[in-house]
Amino acid sequence: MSTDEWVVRLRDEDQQEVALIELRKVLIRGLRKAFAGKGGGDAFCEDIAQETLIRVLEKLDQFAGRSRFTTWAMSIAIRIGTSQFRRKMFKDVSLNAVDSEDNMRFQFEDESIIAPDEVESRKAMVATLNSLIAETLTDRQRQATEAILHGMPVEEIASRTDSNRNAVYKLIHDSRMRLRQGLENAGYTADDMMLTFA
Amino acid sequence: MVLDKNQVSTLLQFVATVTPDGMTCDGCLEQVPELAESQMGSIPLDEVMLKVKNHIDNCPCCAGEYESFLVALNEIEEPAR
Repeated sequence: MSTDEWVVRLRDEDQQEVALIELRKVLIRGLRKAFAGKGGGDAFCEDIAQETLIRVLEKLDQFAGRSRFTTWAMSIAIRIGTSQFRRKMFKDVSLNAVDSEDNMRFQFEDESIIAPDEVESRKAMVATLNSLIAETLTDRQRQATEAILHGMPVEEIASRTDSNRNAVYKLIHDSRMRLRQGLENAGYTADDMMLTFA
Repeated sequence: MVLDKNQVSTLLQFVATVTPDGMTCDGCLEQVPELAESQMGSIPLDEVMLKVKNHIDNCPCCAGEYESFLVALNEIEEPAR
């Protein structure tokens, strides 16, 4: 079915029900593949597809035709699915990584991370990084960076800090830029950063 | 927080690979259908799509979501089994 046909049929009361059934099948096929092996079973995919159909009808007037219709609808399904999957995955994860006063500073376990032949260069880089974290990042930037290092997705950090995904992303991105600038000012290249602890 | 070697390495890679990025996650995700079709069709990326791609390269969460999206798209391009 062409993009135009999808849109026409979904707008037509007489054709909408059949079009939704067909779209649901397409979405479930894509969702099953995308979430296979991630714990997203059939029930999960069917729920996401159902929610997507509602969202597609709500947003149909916003579809600008810059991609195929099914590509657009699939992007909505993946967004809803990813969001719910992450929420489910992290629902029992401790909030300590993002809200504990004890976690406001990084400490490095030097003994465990430094091999004898690399001791001095690693120690120097750790010291520089530690200073930059303490001196150039705000408390919120440190919290968010810690949470990312725990593997927590940006949207989950946002939900735990009464923020939103865009704001948390910017917070973390600014932290990375500041740390990079600081390390470069201290004479480290991107290769040094990539390779010293590789 | 005590970082182990892997976390230090992750942090440094995270810092080393960052590039300027003025796009938001929402702005990026609104435009991924177009990016995906361009990339799957080997169509050269225009200026806007390059910015979307740059955001994906900078944001691990959007990158993960985009990867899942491409998997789903490849599946629905094939005949139903």
